[in-house]
Amino acid sequence: MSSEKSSVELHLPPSVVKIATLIILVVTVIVLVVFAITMFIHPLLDLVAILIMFVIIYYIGTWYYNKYLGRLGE
Amino acid sequence: METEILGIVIIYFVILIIIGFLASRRVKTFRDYIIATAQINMALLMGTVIATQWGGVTVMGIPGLGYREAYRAVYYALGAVPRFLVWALLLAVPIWAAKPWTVTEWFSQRFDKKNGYLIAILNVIGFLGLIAGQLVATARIFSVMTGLPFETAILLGVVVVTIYTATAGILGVIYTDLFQFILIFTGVATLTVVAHANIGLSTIKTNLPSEHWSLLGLDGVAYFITLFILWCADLPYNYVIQRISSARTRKIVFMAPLFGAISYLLTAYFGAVLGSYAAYVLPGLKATDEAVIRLSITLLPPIGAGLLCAALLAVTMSSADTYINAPTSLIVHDLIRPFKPSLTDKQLLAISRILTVVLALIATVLGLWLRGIITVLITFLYFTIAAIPPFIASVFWKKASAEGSFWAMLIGGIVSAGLRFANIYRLTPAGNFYGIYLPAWLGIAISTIILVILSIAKPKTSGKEIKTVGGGIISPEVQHIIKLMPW
Repeated sequence: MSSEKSSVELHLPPSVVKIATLIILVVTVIVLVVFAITMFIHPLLDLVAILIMFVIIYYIGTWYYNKYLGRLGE
Repeated sequence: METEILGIVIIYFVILIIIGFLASRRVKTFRDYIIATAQINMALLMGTVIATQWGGVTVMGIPGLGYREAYRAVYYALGAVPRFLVWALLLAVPIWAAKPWTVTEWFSQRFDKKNGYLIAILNVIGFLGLIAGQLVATARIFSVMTGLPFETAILLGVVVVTIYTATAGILGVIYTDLFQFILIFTGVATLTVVAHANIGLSTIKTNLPSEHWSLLGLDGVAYFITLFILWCADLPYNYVIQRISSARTRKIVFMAPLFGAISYLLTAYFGAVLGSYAAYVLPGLKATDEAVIRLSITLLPPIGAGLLCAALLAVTMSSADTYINAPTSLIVHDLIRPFKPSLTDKQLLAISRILTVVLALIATVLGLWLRGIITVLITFLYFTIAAIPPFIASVFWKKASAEGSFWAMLIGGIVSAGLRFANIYRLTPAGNFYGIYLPAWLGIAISTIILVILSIAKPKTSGKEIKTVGGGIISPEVQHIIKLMPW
């Protein structure tokens, strides 16, 4: 628990906030465009589109965590 | 058919109470009751984060929107995706590092006690409406599926929710949430697959009018932005803080809301598709919130409909239990304990359990009064829209001051909730612009402007500054509280 206690000192630097905001905007645009263009044509195509968006959100999220949040406060 | 459905639902209720009883054996102190301090693993946190959000409005209301316009349902659900990303990318880790017990404590730490009390009051007002709405949704499902009168259904629901929430506290809520999340997903996915197989997307694409599939143009853009704001309005609620503080590790607290964002891709799809199938199979439905229930009765065998009934009850009740537990923590921890510090841990635990019952009873009365108006749930989010800017600023804007935060929440909240209620009572013109968009946009704009101007005009004093979690300042007294905490 000592490592957690030391992290009480951390905060989000402005550069990290900017990257997070950019990710939120990009992901939002991607999901809106995918739903507007490719959805409700065929169930299998819909499933593939959802899986692709799943992978995009998961990998962008884990990249952001590993690069910025995982080491924050160290 | 009704007997089979009722039997399945009763079995489900018994399982819930057993889970609540088992979880209660781990509740030894008042703290165990309000937060499961650093005890929650990835699966449980994901289950509770998603199941709480997949409430009556999400699983019944979104298909209800999709019944009329498919993309209205899509925009409603997709508004939750950036909201969950704000939670994961900006809020989760800094707040988890401090592990506040309640949202009041977080606002008191970051700003001052005045801000803490204000957010507590806003939470309790909002939660009463949210609890009532979930109970109404629960009763609607139950009465449609079983034929029981609305009053009996709401009373039955509130008894079960109250028993396991009052017994097991936050642990019981989190354990049942995981169980309920599995039921929800299975039920809704099965109904979608059955509808695809029996009717087919091409059939509804051909037979429903082209307006049903319209992207809605500028109105769609305005609707999506407003829904994103409304989704963010429940971030400064106590259950979000409880879930963040309950995570075992930093990675878990980040990944759970990330999967929450992913889950709403499915919600957008299920909502639009099931609403559209219902529009094709059951034209002329007046209570569109019942679209999913009636579609399941039409397409599924009785046992399948019974399971889906249990799944739908799961989503509404998992939200109801959370909404009951969260304000209980706020009132006892932040409003009673500071004025009665002599109360022992056992007394606090007993008060929490009594308060859980009292809140549930008040919400039941509200539910019997509001009956069936699920969309009115959104109204209660307008009380906390103005808290979004101070809450997000608390994590990264060092200059955000207590004065700025307080007046931003108070004035912004009065404007947004006032305009919303003015529209409900028909004091402003009907329609989405005056009813939904304008109150949200003005609330967030006024709050942001006041926060920025007052924070710059009246900056914080630097005499007692201590480096803090959110990058801001906390008082030595609060720093002392943090040091006293066992984690």
